[in-house]
Amino acid sequence: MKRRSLFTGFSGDEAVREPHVREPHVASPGAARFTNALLRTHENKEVRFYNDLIRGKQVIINLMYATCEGVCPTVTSNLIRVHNALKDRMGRDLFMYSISIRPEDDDPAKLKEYAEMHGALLPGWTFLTGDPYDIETIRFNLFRWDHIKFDTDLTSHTGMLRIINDATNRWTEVSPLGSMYTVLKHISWADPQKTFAQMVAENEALQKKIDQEVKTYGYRKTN
Amino acid sequence: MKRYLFIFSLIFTCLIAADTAFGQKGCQPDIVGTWKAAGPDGANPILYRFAPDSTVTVLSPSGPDQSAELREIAKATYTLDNPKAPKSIVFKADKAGGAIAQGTSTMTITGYDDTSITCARPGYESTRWVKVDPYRYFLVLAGRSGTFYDHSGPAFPMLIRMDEGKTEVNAFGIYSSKGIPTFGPIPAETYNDFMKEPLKPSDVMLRLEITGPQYERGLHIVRTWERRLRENTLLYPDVSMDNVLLAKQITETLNQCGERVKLYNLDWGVDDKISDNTKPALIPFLYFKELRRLNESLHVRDEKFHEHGRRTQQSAAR
Repeated sequence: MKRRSLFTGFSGDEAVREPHVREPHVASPGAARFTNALLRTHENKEVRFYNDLIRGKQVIINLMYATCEGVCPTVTSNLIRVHNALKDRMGRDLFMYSISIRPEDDDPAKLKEYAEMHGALLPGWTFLTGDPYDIETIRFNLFRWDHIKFDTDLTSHTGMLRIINDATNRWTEVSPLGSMYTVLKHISWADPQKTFAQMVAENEALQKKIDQEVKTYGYRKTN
Repeated sequence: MKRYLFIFSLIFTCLIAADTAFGQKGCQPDIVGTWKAAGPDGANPILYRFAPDSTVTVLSPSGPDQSAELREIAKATYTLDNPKAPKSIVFKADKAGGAIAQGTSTMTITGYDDTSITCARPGYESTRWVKVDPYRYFLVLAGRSGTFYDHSGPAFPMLIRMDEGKTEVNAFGIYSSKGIPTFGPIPAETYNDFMKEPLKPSDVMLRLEITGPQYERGLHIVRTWERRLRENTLLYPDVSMDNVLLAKQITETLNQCGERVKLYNLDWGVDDKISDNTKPALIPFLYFKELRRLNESLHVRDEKFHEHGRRTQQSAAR
């Protein structure tokens, strides 16, 4: 319960955002892969990377730094669009983490200022900083390409989103610069498994929509 | 239009010049320690001993002989305008001495690198201070081929600090443990093979004399890898890749404060012939071999290296 209130605290609307935390998948690599490094949020709260941020959750992680003038602002604005598209889930069963890869420059106040400036102080979205050693470990563990050039170039990592669902042990990666359809599709690949009843209901709704389109246009428009 | 272009070029040139004068990005001078300032002919040396508690003591030889005992000629407090990239030092002194005036005075820093600072004060010629360091530092890049099944072998950087007859060695990388490639602190029996120049064609060695700050930066990298090994947070699942990264980090840090050595761009790019079609285990050996070729004139030969050792011991005895 304590941990739950800690999470809702990030988003700023404690009353409505109650996260749905599941049990980690049996094959989840857990803290051994993710590390349980102590990080700091933009609200200057201490969190453990695996235990508090990843364990049993579906998360979207990107790397950034406050003074990044290249691709970062575009990525952030695209992430705001992603957040808008999934706002009903954000802070409940889906979380977004933006980790600074220049932790020596980006303290919590600077990250908060960055988030405010870009309109990214949104429910379920946390900006994080920490010890450079831990950030480097996390960066390699989540974004490593096994290629010295890209792995040592900090900026090459700012253009990717890592999507992880620890409850299903599913990992995907997508460029946030892709179309909204592509980004949302990739996020959905890591969604929790639906129940049979949910799938039937979704299929019925889709069929209804297609029938309506055929009636109106004479052909199916929905992909 | 031409005028604008000229003004723009001028501003651009000034910016580049300023950047060069104040060292490279990531170059942070450490003012704490003893600095020697001398006139153009090396006469009348004055020592400035900067302490971490923001005090500076000015010392001068008590007689004409430079080996004469040092006496304090002034004491002051100092403040750097920006410790990460200083452009001036403000002194507050009760009495004048050296280049420090009585009361509050400011000295402008016009340039610095790992071992020197160039200062200027109004009405005087600029002075170059050189850091006084009782130690000698070396970086040895050592590699061997044909030890393991994939024809690779031990490959590691070795940091050496010599003082008062003591030699301190920190070596970390891949070595052979009962024939198995192992990543970690290098045992003495392995690094001792590279304390003298190897004669075997299967070995490669580049020995560079480095500065104190270069040594400290290298040691920080080694300590971080030691921690990664201890805490099981190595960056790659294949230790050969970790060793490539270690070799790259430790050599590239040499030029953090101005170009000291000729580097090879080990980045797996199109111009990188070493890593193209080469297994990671073999890369450090080939990389060290290429660095030796590029920096042949900087390689410290055995006679010179042992002479350094003897000189350090002699000065310590004095």
